[in-house]
Parts: sequence; structure tokens; C-alpha cells
Amino acid sequence: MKKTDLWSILPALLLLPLLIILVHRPANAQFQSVKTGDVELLYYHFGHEYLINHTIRSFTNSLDFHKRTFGYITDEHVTLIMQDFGDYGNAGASAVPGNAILMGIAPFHYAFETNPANERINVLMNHELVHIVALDMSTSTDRFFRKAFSGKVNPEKEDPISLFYAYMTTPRRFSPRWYHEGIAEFMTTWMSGGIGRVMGPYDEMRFRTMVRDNRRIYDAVGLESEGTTTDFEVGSNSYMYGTRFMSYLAVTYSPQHIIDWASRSNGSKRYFSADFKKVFGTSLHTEWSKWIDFEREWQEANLARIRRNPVTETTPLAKRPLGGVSRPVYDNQTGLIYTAVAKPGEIAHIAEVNPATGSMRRVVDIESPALHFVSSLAFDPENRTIFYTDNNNSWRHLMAHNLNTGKTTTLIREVRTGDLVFNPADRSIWGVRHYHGIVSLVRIPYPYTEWNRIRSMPYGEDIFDIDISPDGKKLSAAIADVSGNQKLVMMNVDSLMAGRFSYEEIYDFEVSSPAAFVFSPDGRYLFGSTYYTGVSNIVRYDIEQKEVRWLTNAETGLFRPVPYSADSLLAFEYTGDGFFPVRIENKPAERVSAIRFLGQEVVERHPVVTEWMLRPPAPGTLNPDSLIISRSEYHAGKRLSLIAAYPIVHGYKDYVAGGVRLDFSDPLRLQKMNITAGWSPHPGLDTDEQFHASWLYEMSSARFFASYNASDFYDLFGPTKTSRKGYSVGMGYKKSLIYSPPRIMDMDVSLSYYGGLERLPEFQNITTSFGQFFSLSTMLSYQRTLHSLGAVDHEKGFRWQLGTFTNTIAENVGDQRIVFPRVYQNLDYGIALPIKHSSVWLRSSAGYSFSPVREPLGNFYFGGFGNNWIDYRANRRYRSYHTFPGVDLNAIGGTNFTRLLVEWVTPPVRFRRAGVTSLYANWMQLSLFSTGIITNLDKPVWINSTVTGDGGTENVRERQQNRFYNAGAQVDMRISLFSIMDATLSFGYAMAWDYDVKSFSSDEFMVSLKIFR
Amino acid sequence: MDKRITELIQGAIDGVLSADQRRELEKELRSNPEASALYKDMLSLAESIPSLKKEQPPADLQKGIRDAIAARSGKASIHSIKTKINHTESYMSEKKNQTMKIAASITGLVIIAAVIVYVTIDYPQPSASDVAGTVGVDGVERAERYRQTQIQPGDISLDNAEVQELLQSDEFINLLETGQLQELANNPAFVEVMREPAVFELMRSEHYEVMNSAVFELNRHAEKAELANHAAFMELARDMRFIELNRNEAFAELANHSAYVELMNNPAFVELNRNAAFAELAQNESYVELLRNQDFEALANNSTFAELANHADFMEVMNNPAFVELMRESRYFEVMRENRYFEVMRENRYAEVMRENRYFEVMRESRYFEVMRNHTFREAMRNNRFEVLFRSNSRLELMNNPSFESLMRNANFVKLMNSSTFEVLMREGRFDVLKSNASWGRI
Repeated sequence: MKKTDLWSILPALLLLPLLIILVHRPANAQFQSVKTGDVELLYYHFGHEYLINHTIRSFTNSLDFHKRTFGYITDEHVTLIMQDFGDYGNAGASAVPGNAILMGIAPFHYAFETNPANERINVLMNHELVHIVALDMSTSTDRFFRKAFSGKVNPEKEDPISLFYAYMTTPRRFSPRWYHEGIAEFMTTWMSGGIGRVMGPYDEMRFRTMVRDNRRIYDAVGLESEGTTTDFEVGSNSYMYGTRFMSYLAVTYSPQHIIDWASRSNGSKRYFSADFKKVFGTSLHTEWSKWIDFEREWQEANLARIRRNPVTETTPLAKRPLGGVSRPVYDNQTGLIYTAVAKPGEIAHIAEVNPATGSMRRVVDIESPALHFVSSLAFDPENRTIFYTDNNNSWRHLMAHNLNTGKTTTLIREVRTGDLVFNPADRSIWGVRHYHGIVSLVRIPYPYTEWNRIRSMPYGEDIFDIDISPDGKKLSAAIADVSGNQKLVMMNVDSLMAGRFSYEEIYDFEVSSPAAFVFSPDGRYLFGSTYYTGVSNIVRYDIEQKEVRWLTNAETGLFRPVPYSADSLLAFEYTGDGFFPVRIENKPAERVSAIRFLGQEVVERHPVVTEWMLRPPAPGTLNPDSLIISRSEYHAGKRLSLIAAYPIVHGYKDYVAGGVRLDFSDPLRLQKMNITAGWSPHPGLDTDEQFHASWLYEMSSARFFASYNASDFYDLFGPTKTSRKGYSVGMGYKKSLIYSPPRIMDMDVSLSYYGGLERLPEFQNITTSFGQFFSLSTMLSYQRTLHSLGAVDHEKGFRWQLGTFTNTIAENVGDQRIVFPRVYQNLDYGIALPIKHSSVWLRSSAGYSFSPVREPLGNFYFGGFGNNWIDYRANRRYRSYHTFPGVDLNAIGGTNFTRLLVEWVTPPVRFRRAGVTSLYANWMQLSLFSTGIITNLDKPVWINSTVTGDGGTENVRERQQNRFYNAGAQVDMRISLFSIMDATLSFGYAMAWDYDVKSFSSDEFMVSLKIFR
Repeated sequence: MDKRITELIQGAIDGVLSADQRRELEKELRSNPEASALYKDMLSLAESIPSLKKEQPPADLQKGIRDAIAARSGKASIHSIKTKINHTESYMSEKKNQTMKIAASITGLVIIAAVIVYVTIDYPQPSASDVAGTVGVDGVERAERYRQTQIQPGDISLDNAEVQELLQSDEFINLLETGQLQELANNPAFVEVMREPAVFELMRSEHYEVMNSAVFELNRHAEKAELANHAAFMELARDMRFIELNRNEAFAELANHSAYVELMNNPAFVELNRNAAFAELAQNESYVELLRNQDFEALANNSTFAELANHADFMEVMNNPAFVELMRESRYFEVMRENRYFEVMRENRYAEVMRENRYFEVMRESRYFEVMRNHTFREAMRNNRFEVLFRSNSRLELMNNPSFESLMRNANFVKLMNSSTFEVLMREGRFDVLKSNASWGRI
């Protein structure tokens, strides 16, 4: 056996730095850095600079509070990234590997009053820093491990042993979302002086409705396993449940108990539920049950308060709830209602509701719906065109759908405008645009190819829920200021067009939002809703009389009214399954009841929370100039540093290797590098195979890699082996050509040089005929796949891939350079079935190699499920073109092939409670599939040849073409481990048959635990 | 304590304060310890009410009261009715009457007490905590929601927030999306020009459009651009006599006449034009006629001609076929009649310009004369800023950049140049703002 010659790879290693320099071009967006002692603020756009000092003041103000309140001590600064990637504000925080906050500067949405309206950067800093504290706060033991591992370890799927180290360094990361969000929302409410989810009417409504309808209030396990997936509130349930539970704890125990629970101080328990028992003296499960009882009692009392006065009667206009809904539009001519809807199990779409029959029709899909409000709708009745927004979680597109022709058009991409309303006077569309954190009222004139800014509001002042009177002369809107005060205003359209922005304040709903006000057809009234009583009720404003009248006394909540007839209105009534279109009378209610907020109970029982209100981050109290220590450009390469180092265990062939892994990264993680080195001193291995090393450097779109006797953790388990003798060095480049989810187009090019190989890099069971070769692979892929709320997989759409492999032998054979090119493509197409979360997919593949059949480097190989017992790659590997469950790995080969798979993905079974907080099952799903494959299509199935040997001449029938088919099933069960780590346990069975050899059949059973999502 | 504060505290406890009143109270509570103490006391009292248990009266007491009410009120009522309706009973004794009054009073009190008891015990009213502080407008109860005084606009200090007015404008964003600004922001000449205040001043001028046209017309080719940078030409261009001359259509035609161009390249002709005698002669009708008739004899009697005849340049010109050809052009003589023509010609500093081919290339541009004849252009030419712009090397470089030309004619850019914020940004060298575009944020 030829030994690997290290000198032979030297030229390639020398070439790498040159390639790095060639590929390393300045990033399109150059980050700028502003540093204080506590925070490094990074931003990439000139247009965001105006917020720097205010952000630093808000951050510092908030961090000081957390340090005081939680006893949080840190010498690590927080990397705060300011971005404007979406039309609505949000933020996220992480403490691993470094403390970081990603802050969106766009305004919040106020649909159904699910977000606070007060100054948002202050709110975001208050909220996100609670996460940082709850995640990062450490005991002396944690700090010991952080030192031992050179930092806070991030769980890496290639080395799952890192999970253990991660738990030792940042244990509170292993807590459920409701825990972190609950604490953060609880603290944010009081830090904001009472504005927040604890005092939120939507949350009160949510639980009041559940109690009224006698619906299940999930326990802590059921919430994460089922509540955040099957419910139309999906992930927001974590916020609502978490906050509610914290409020209950505060009322029952004290707010200080919550602080104590969130604080990872010396003496505290590592796991959050264990620490709960220590702080509260009872188990989390027991206390959660008590909270459910308390919640039912609380809401029964609120329902009784509401029922003291006659409850408004509603007439259902549909047969079932619609889930989340947009503003509805009513077509007077046809009597049909149009609204965008999103609910679990159904692809979001614009629905046509016939109020006379309650029937519904899907009009057009919405590819990217927003939670709660789905999309923004406007209607041109003359031309029967619905205008709506798509890409609602990013930069919104303006779309149009003509009801007469059924044609859908993208009018303006990334217009970043919502709150659409149609002006019948001139066919223009008016809307509200979000850009650089600023809200602008805009007008989009017919034919909708451009937009014109009418007015940009000062920072922190938001305008939303606009409407235009039927004569096109008046524009109503809700305006919120930095204090969170919101008012209903009226403007003159002509004045706006002339550049004069002024408004008449119609009504001040104080802390409640004037929601979704619309004009009556005669322009005399405005109808909208408000939580003034704590319950969202419909109100009517008489424009001439300047008088507000409440029309309803609702038990749950009524929203988004639209005049339906002279004496009735269409509205959406809140239910546990989403909003339900109903008809209500256009008649004032005599008396309207108020409810009591749980948050009010907290503040009255524990006035200490009033002392948690932060002083405003005013310039007079905090001077950024004295805090800022540097301003510079951010260069990821220069900031690359060691972030973790820890021991690892890998598999090499059938042996165990021990080693070490080093992770490097810059704070933004724009550049990452990891190095592993291992040793497997087994007598069964040659000495030159006992050392293992790998190197991966990723920067922007490029990656560079090298390995020597590559080892792999997962080779310790199961049949699939990726460890290889020999060495490799290469580089890759991946770029998104289109990134507008769900439309994504990627390209990936990779060039590798392999030396000293025994087996092919891709096919473990195929011995290579050449030890050293170059391999160039390219991939172009496009996908547009959709899924509904709560889906566990994509449910419809298509995916296309075109790939090539070109293996070139390093040394000439004779005078010739030998090249083995292969090309293949995959095309998947799926349709959603009328059954929730169930779909049927056709997955086709075809490939061609320009190589001789006998050359392994030029062949395609198929076989097996491909899953390892313990794995981290895709669990439904049977979908990949190179697998073929039922036969051995790489058992079927050929220089060309065609493969077709039909798959039925059945609805998932959700587990309401299967396990404990640290380990529970989420869902289980069965997939049934059948595949057919033909290789070497250009050849006959058999050829007869004559072989002359010692025994004389013999006629031999040799197999040329392969035709196989199989049928199989796979069950996947999602398991949640320590709250944050998802694993999938899969069982598969398939049987395969040879079409041409009737006697042949084989089967395969697969069991695999895929760790990490 | 001020009655007003007491009322506000009571209102806060009852939950009926408006937003302004609540703010007023919060301010008072922060500054007035006495008021703060009272508020806490009253809040504590209000909090304790819901926790009070409802005491149930003994069962027989309630029944006894009801029975008594039924018995006594029933008799009284009957008696009363009888009294009123039948008017049959004459009168009652005073004592009896008095007894009846006492009984009626007691009955009334008992009824009131019974109603109170009934309402307190049996009627399904909300508890005190349910209604406390929830009465709003017109029978609409306002939910009590704790809220402290919030951050005010004055608490938020932004930096250069006014720049957002510019960044948010559709004109600016549209320009960014064309990519022109990005391209030009990387062009050092553009950077230099945009730092020049004159550019902004000119673009805000009412003459901008005309000047802009002139600038581009004069700079369409490199040669002309050089001419524009010629100090003498600039002086010439700003000379009102020249400007007026350019308004003369005949001059325009003449400038396009090949013979004239050829002659203007002849130093002798230029020199001749500078000669006062020639000017006098050229404006002499007889001379003109004579030249046209080519009857040179009569010229001999003309003393001016005689003077010129001794002039070498004149003779050289006269022998030049081009001049002979020009003589046949009525337009030539028309121009010759203009004093301004000769005045301009006599200026030494212009002579050099007049001899330049590129000058005539400019002159051949019909658009040039169109511009020169424009009133506003004449006004603009008097503007020193224009000259600065006109003579800037960077500008000359930019003039040949199609992106810049297109930009200067773009209405959105003109609007942008009218923005003082944009001017400040450019002067501060913030060209990174131009390098951004709508999709730049995607990383």
C-alpha cells in the first residue's frame, strides 16, 4: 500500500493563502464599530447612524438596571448589531459564544395590540438584556469551565460532545423558550412603567377565551411540544404562557422570586426546573398546575364582570375560524368578503368568504405570511382587484390579484409598504412604508410602478391603520408617539398631496390603540376597535357630531369592523382557533364592562415593581461621548480569535480516535475557522493513519478546507462512514443568487484535491482506481416550497437542482489527462392534501456520466437509507438521489440513471405530554414511499460474452443495465432534549426488488437518531 | 392639602383620570411627599376592600325582616289607598294619626333597610373591586391599567435625524436604485465637484436648466471642453457684446459658413477684423455694394479703402478666394454692420480664441446659439459661480461621463440638489450615503 506523501500536498497548501486573498474581497456591506466599555455597536448603513447614541444610552441605562437588580457582573461586552432586514422591528439575543444582540430598528406592528407602542429601542434593550443576563450569568463553577474550554462552548453538530461542554459553561441556555421570554416580558413591562405584555389585553383575551371555551391550557411540556405548533398563535404562545406564569408567580410569591429564579448565582441549580424547586420550594410541574387553576378562576371572574352587562350577540358568517386574519375587504357588488388568512395546516392565502352560505374559497396563496395580521389588503371594486403584500416577514412586495382574470402580478418588489388602502377617487394606493426605522406615509399612483413619499414621521412616531373616505378627501389614521400614547386622527388628502401635513385629533384612547378604523360608505362614521375596557370592542365615531359610541360588549374580543349593511357590520371575533367572521348590529351598547388585568393585580399587591421603571435614557443623564471609547471599521479577519477549545472523540474506519477541537470566530461570526486534531493509536492501523486532522475556514461566501486521514464522530455509529484515508485540500464558494423566501436560488462550487485515497470520497464502498485527483463539483438549485403554520416539513411547491462532478486524475495517463465528468439533476414537486399537514411529493432525478462504465470515478452509485445510528444529516435521507433503501449502500451503479420517488407524508401526530421538561417527544410522522431506478439506460440488460480460462471457454451473461424498485416507510419522531436541542428518532423499513431478476429481493431496516435539527 | 390634589388622588384610585390628569398627579406625587403618603394610604385602603369577606346575616333575620315588611307595608298600603280613593273615612283621631305617622316612618325606614340588605346580599352586583375605578364614558367602564409617566420626545436625542428626511424621499431612493449615484460616488471628479458649493447654488438657480444645457453643449467633446476651460473664451463668453452678437442669426449662420471659418483661421483676416478702418469700411453701404458688384474702381475714391489698401493683411485677405466667396454672402455684411462684432474682434484677448478651430466647432452647434440667445443664459453668464463650475477640471472630466450628464438632467437629482441636508452631506464627504442602495442591507 502506497503511503501518503506529505510533500506532495505542499504545493496545494501553499496555494491556499493565495486563493484566500483572491476570494477575500471587501464585503458589500462594511460594518462600522462604535465601542463603549459594555457594548460594541455594529452597523452597516449610514442611514442608521442617527440611532447610535440613543441606542448606546438605552443599552447602558438598561444594563445598569440589570446589574443592580440581578447582581449581574460581567467583563464581557455585548455585540449589538443594528439592522433593518425586516419591515417590522424585532430582536434576538444570544450569549454563546459571545454575548450578542441582533436588533431590528423597524417599528413594531400593532395588529391586535400584540406589541407595545412606546419607544422601541428602549423596550428592545430592556427585553434583550434580560435574555443576556438569564443566559450569561454564571456561578464560579460555570466560570471555571469557561476558562477550561477557552470560552462558552457552542454546540456543534459535527462534535455533539460539545453539547455537554455547552451545558457546563452556559447551563441556562438549556431552558425552554417560555422561561426566557416570560422573564424578559415580565421585566420589560415594569421597566417600561406598565407598558408590556404583563398588562397586555391580547394576552388577557387569549386566556379568557380559553377558559370561556373550556379549552386546554397546556402544561409546561405540552406548551412546547404541541402548543407552539398546532395553535394558530404558534411561537407567540411561548411569550404568552411564559409571561402569564411569571405574573402568577409574582402575585402568589413575589417579583423578587422571579429575579432569584432567573439569576444564576452561586448556590443556584444548573437546570432551570431544578432551580425552580430551590427558589419556590415546590416543583415546576406542581406550580404550573396551580397556575392553571388560578388562571381559570381569574378568567371566570373576568367573564362574570363582562356578563354583568348584556353580551353582544354575533352572527357567524363562516363555518370555521380563519386563524390569523388581515384587514378584510367587502365587495358590495358580489356580497363576498376577502381576507388573508393563516392557520396551522393550511398554506396561507387570501380567502373569499361567502357570508350567505359560510363557504370559503382559496383565491391566491401568500408565500410569506406574517403572524397575526398575515398580510395587508386593499380593494379596487371597479376593477375587482385585490392589492396585498407578500414577503411579509422581510421587505414586503406589493402584489395585485385580479378577481376577474385570476391573474396575480408583482407590482413593486421590496416596496416595504403595508397598511394599504385604495383611494377610489384617483385609483391610487396609500400605505405606510418602513425604512431605516422611520415611518412614512406614501402614495402609490396608478399604474403602481412607483411610490411617492407624502410624509416621513419623526423617529418614534408611528402612523398605522389608515383608511380613506369614499370620496377620497379624508384620510384617517392611528398615530402613536414615543410615550405609547395613541390617538385617532383625520387628515385632508388634498393638503397631504400639496405637501401640507397636519391632522385633527379625533379621539385619544390613551393607553389603548385605536385599531383598524374604517369609514362607513356614506363617510359619516368611522368604525374601529379599542381595548379601552380591557376587551376589544367595536366603537363608532360620528364625524359630524364628534361622538364616540361603543357598539359591543364582547366576551372575547371583536376586531377589524367593516360596514356590511346599513344596520350591521362585519367583524372578527377572537376564538381559540383564530378569528371568526361575524355580523354585529350597528347599534350602541347600553353598558360595556371592563375586565381586570392580572398585571394590575401584580402592581397592587407588589408595588415594588413600580420602582423598576427605568429613568428615560435622556441625553442629560447619559452622555455617549463620555462612554464611547472608539469608532472604527469592523474587519472580521482581524477580529478572528479563539472562542472555544475542547476534547473530542471521533471514529476513523472502525477505530476510536481522541483529539481536540479549536473554534475561532469573529464576534459577528462572519468568519469562522475550526481545527480538529486526533490520534487513534490502534495496532490495526498503520502509523501514517493514526494521526487525523481537519481544517475549515469559512468567510462570507467562501470556504477553505483540508483534511488528513479525515475522522468523524458519527463513524462511531452505524454503517455510513465518512472517514477516509488520505488527504484532501480544497475551496468552495456558495452564493444566494435569489434570496426572497420562499424563493431561493443558490449556487455552490467546490474544488478539491484528493491524495492517498483508498475509497471514493462520496462512496465508501467503492475502491478508487486513482489515488490522486481533482474534484470539481458545482450545484445550482432553486426552490419555492411552502408550508403552513405548525408544519413539520414543506408541504407544497417545487425544488430543482442541477449538479456536476468532474474528477480529473492528477497525473497524465500516457499523454492524456483523464477527466470523468458527471451531471445530474433533481426535480421535486409536491402538493398539499386537504388533510392537515399532509402532502404528496414526486421526486425525480436523472444523471449522466461521460465516463466508461468500469471506471469508479465516473459512475453514480445508489443504495441504502444512508442514515447512521447516530447522525446529524437529514433524517429523510431516502429522498436523496443517491440513496435506494432496501439494497446495500452503493450497491447499484451506472454511468447514467433515472430515478423516480413517490412519497406520501401523512399528518403528524402531536404529543401533548410525552416526557418531562428535560426530555419529551414533540411529534411523530409517517412517510410512505416507493422508488424506481434504472441505471445504464443506454445498454441492454444483459450481454453475453465468452470468457476463456483454465477450464476452457465459457459463455458468461453479464449484467449491464440495472432496474430496481422498492417500497418503504419511515417514521420520524421529534424529541426535544434539554429544551433547546431537537433530535429526531427515525425508524425505516424498505424492501427492494430487481425488475429483471424476479427471484431477487432484499430488505433493509434502519434506525437512526439524528441529533441537532 | 390642595383640594385639587385630593380629587386627583381619588380619581386615580377610582380609575377615572384622563391621561393629562394622570400625568399631573404623577408629577405631584413625585414632588409632594404628603400627597404621596395620602395616595399610598388610599391605595392601600382600596386594595383592602376586595379582600374583605362578605358577612352573611342570620337566615332568620332576613326572613323576619321580609315578613315584617310584607305585613306592615301591606296594611299601610291598603289603608292609604282606601283613604285616597274612596274618601269615605272622615278623619282619624290625632293620636291615631300620629301613631300612623310614626308607623309609616318606621315602615319607610324598614323598606329602605330591606332594599339595602337585599341589594347587598341577593342582587347579582359586581363586588366593589369590580367597579372601582372602571367607570368611563357613557356607561363604558375603563379598565384600570397601571402606567407610569413615560419617556417623552425630549428624552430621545438623535444624531442628524434630519438626514432621514432626505434618505426617506422617493427621489433619493429612486436615484440610488438607478445605480448612477453609486457609480459616481466612486468617481473622484464627482466627489470633488459635489464638494463645491457653487454646484448647489447653481442648481438652485432659476437659470439652472439653461446653464446646464449650455454646460453640456459646450462640453460634448473633449476639444470643446478645453475651449470652455480657456480663460479668454470664458471672458468672451461672458462679454455682453459677444452674447448680443450671438443673438444675431446672421452671425450664427456665418459661423457655420465654411469660408468664414477658413478665413478666421487666417491671421491676416483676424488682424483685419481688428482694424478700425476695416470696421468702418465694412459698415459702409457703398463698400458693401461695391464688394458685391466686385467693382473695385470706385473703391479708389474711398480714403478708408485707400488706407487699407496699403495694409498687407488686407491685401492678403482680398486675394483669398474664401474671402471672395464670403463677399457674396449677404449675411456677412449683415454681421459686419454690427459694431459689436468689431468691438469684440478688436479685443486682443479674444483674438486667440477666434483663431481656434474648436471655437468654430462650438459655433456650428445650433444648440449653442439657442443657448446663447436665451435671456436667462445671459443672466447666468454674469454669475461668478458659473465660471467656477465652467472652469473646474473635475467638471470637465465629468461632462464626458454619460451617467453624470443623465444625472444632471434627472429631475430627482435636481430636487436632491435643492436639499440643504444633501449639500451638507456632500460637503462633509459622506459619499457612503450614495453608495448605499435599497438592497444593500442584505448580507
